[in-house]
Amino acid sequence: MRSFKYYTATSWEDAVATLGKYKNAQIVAGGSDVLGWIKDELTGPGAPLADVLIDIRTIPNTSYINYDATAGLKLGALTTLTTVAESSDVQKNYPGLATAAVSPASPSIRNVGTIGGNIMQRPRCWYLRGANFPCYKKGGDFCFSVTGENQYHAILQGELCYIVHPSDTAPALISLNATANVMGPNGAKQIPFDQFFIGPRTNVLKETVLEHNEILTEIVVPPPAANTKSVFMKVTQRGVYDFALVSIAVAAQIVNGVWQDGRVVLGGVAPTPYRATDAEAALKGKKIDANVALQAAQDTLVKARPMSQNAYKVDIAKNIIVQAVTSLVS
Amino acid sequence: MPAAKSYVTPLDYEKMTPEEREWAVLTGRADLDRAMKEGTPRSTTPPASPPAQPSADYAVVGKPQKDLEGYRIVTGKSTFTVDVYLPDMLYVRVLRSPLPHAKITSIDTSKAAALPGVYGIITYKDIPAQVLAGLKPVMASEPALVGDPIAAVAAVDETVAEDALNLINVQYQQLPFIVDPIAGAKSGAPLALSNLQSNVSGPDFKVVRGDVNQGFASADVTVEHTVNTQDQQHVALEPHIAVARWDNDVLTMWTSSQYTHAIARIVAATLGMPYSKVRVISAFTGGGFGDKTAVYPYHLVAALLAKKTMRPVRYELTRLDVFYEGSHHFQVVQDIKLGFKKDGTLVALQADSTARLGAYSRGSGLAGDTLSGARLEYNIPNILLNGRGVITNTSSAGARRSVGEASGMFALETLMDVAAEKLGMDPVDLRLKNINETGDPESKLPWTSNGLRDCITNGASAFNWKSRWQGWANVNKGAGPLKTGVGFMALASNKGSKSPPMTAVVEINVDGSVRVVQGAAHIGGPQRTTFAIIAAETLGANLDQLSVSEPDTAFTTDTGIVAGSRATKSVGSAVKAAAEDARAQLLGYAAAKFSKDLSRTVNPQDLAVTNGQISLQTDSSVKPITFADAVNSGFIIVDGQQVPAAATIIGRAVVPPVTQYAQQTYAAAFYEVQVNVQTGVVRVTDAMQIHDVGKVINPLQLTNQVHGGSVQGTGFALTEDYIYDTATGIPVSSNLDDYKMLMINDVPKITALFVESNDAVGPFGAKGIGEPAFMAAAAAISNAIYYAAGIRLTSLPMNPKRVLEALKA
Ligand SMILES: Cc1cc2nc3c(=O)[nH]c(=O)nc-3n(C[C@H](O)[C@H](O)[C@H](O)COP(=O)(O)OP(=O)(O)OC[C@H]3O[C@@H](n4cnc5c(N)ncnc54)[C@H](O)[C@@H]3O)c2cc1C
Ligand code: SF4
Repeated sequence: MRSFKYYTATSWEDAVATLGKYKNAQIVAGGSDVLGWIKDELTGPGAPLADVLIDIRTIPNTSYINYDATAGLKLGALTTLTTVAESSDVQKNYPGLATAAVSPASPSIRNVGTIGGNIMQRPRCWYLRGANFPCYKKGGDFCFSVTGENQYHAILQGELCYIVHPSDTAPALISLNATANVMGPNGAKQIPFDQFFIGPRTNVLKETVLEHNEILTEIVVPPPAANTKSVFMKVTQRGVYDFALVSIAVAAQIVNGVWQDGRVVLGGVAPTPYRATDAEAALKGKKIDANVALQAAQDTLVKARPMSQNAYKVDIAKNIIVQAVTSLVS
Repeated sequence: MPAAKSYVTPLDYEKMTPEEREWAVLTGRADLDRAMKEGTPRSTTPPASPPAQPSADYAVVGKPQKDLEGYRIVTGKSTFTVDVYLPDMLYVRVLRSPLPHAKITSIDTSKAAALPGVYGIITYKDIPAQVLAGLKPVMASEPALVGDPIAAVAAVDETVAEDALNLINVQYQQLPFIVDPIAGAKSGAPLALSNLQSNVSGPDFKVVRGDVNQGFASADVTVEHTVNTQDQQHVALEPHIAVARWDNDVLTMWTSSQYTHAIARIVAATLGMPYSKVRVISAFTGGGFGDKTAVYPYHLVAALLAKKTMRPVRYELTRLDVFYEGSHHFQVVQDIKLGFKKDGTLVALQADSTARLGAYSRGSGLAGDTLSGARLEYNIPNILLNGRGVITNTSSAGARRSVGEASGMFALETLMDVAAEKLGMDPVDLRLKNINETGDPESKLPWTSNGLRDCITNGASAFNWKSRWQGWANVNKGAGPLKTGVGFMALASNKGSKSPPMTAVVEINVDGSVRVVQGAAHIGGPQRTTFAIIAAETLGANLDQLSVSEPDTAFTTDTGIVAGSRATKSVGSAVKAAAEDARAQLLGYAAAKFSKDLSRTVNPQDLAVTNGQISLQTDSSVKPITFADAVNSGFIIVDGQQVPAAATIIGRAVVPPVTQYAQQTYAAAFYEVQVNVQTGVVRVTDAMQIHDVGKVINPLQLTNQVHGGSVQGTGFALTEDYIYDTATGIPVSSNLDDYKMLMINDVPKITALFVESNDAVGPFGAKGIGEPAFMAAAAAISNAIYYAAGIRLTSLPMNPKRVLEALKA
């Protein structure tokens, strides 16, 4: 591993100011993603290797879970995935999020990996994670996946770059209509997670709207409306310790088996967590059964544009939408 | 019928690297070639094997024994090479080629050399042309794969060394390259190395038996398919590592190795030193699976940088370094065809195998190994086998828990299943009908033993095959998205043979303790425990009297490689013979002592040794004596006379190779899978392997070997895939996230059962297990997937992509 400078931040403002000072600085939370990135020497014309790491674990009061029935859930960005998954408040009120938080990686990674880091983690495209591929996302002028090995790549909304968003918690948070609290040079602001992630056409060098010197500080999830049910499912090759081939988070208010309102969000299929609005529209007001769910799945996946090796993911996505949606009424 | 002509094209041993010769020995090819060359075997009736004693008569053999080293290992007190840190040690990092094929046009290390903390740098300019690691360049001037070493830096720590690598400026001239072996074999394909005439390496491997055309003409049923198996990585827990130190002209090297003596021998020869001046130590080896059998560039990098800097250096490869520099289980593309009579009798086999050799493997031997099982498992009068190796710009092909046989067995045993359906036969019955129980048709040598029939029948009844497999009418009959099915395969393997060198020493000391001196790696077998059991049983000693030496070329003899599933049979044979020698001497001491104490003549043959006690069989009133009593007495009987003797006993053995038998191991495997037809995910839900191990030496560790083998075999079948990007020649699944090893949740209940066929040459009738345990999985899983979901998968791994694509086809 190459050498880097290491700062311990004392406050969000301190971290933001230090980030502003160094062009190639990066935040380190649990370090489970960012250190791997540096070890693998992943750098390119638009993606310099971090030479400064700013540790935000040293900022006081950044790891917490607060729940109350009117304000909803507040998660400090530095809360570990394990803590989120094991919280009884989360389990009781947001089962989809609890499942999503226990789904990434292994217990040891979840014990250090933070919810903020999980949302902000970089994609796993194996060309991106290989040192010798100067692709678009590293500031180069080529996407190796288009003519190369793309069995794990995007089936929806790929253009320029065909990564899939790797986070398990992000689809769950979007399905629950959560909001990000962000600190930047001009102070704090709120961004709904629905608008937090950006595709390659907007900016291929990053995956979120956050600027270099902006930090995710807190995650806020509104209290669940009456009759809300939520679920998270994930299809992997191995039983555990595997990124999603396809994942899905669904949260909906269901009364007497009828879908009142809700969200369907897919992971592992597109460069951002994919909000399946076509599915949501197809489900709205319907009594949920396998046929209705299948219609929702089909409406979503007519838009799929699989690459040379990943058409199988369309089948998985279709089947898992049906499974997840029908599970809410079974 | 005219006498069928039958031959195997012999390998050219002169042209082989030491590494390749090692494999030829391990894979039984050397035995076969020798037998073929010598013509008719010396005797057609095999020498009678000593009748095995019933298990109950053994005091130690056959009883479950924990690894004698287990406590040290789990408490962190055992010294693996990764634990070796020396005073003043420097750390090495290596710059590796980003291109699959290129020529270096310039290389400038001056900036790196000027970095504080950097003590030495080597590039190809510092390496004499003859200094190679096998065929691998220590430092490449014409890199022939992504990851070939370009420059090595020794510095005060790894971070400084890596910063230094970044300051090295290399200019390359890119050359054409080839990744795919089928494309590479075509004329006009880019050459993988500029000095090659063709990527096809050496003459084809060829076996002809009978007349294959006539055979197929006479067949009632013919089946064929094409099988593509992937590159697989070993992923030993301990990475490849070498720590080197020079004391004047003596080089000491600690390395994680399966064969210290070969490392010492080859490092010495390569550096032009006497063998006696290179000392190699591998006290414990954290896994190898075939990839730690040879000298690799990293060994020589460590030796040369230690010499250059006059300080000890340590080069611990990163996982990516291991993936690049190590040798892999290699991709093989096989076309295979079988012909049967209506009643299931096999009449013809034709198979063609193309192996991807990578940049630095040579010959058709590896392709030949994939065809070995097909040649020997069943009685087939007409055979035509062809194999070739194709040199490519990928990491080298090599030994990996079966070399090529796992791929060959996958091709054969899935096709046997296809045939069984076409013939309307139970796949178990089809195998039973065709087993070759006689011997090797080409060398004409009889088997040392063949327990395949028992493996199959015992397994079928233990697995309840007759009720779990419900006939071919019930393929894909499950309702719902989760389909369950069972599958079966049989297995014959040339691994697990007794092969030279086989030497050992057994010492009995004044205090009665016994030390086995041997140089085999302790690598999970656990070999030292096996040797202790064998020596204890032979001597009549208690297991706690035993200790076994750690591999260190300064103190042990060359016991041979721990690979090819040979340690129990080969090293074990030597240990047994040395223990017999020591026992004979011990009885001499004991007879002298009894004679003296009783004032009458006692002969060694009057004595019995059990549980560490030597007793007079002819007179139970005489109190038995201990080993210590005997050795301490200081006299032995020579020609009936008492003669003073040293207070230590040294038994030794150099065991000759086996020339009168052909050696094979056998197994049957029964697997149950669950196929999710909505997601394509396959889970193994039940696994049973039944192995002919000749004789069970230690049931506990044998079972462990089957567990490990089944897990690795299932990974080979379902998830592990070392994928190259063909456009750039760069491997993409070169990390442990994308290279998918199974996790413990993926492991079902595994049942290990054993058949004792009493091998004619193994110690106590034992033979090997390591590789067969790995091979006895993939075909059974593929057959089970077919039974569950009606899809035949002939490419590995059988991942969701392949499952869903097949379901749609
Ligand atoms: C082998 C492996 C398997 C994995 N499998 C999965 C999986 O299946 N599903 C899944 O969802 N994840 C998976 N992960 C990702 C894992 O969950 C993340 O690595 C982890 O959650 C990141 O948290 P961290 O605190 O360690 O982040 P770090 O590594 O410290 O940071 C990650 C990135 O986010 C940035 N960052 C961190 N915190 C903030 C913040 N508050 N504001 C702004 N930027 C920030 C960092 O600068 C860095 O770029 C896997 C990781 C590994 C190594
Ligand atoms: S998909 Fe994106 S990250 Fe991957 S190679 Fe293409 S541009 Fe790079």
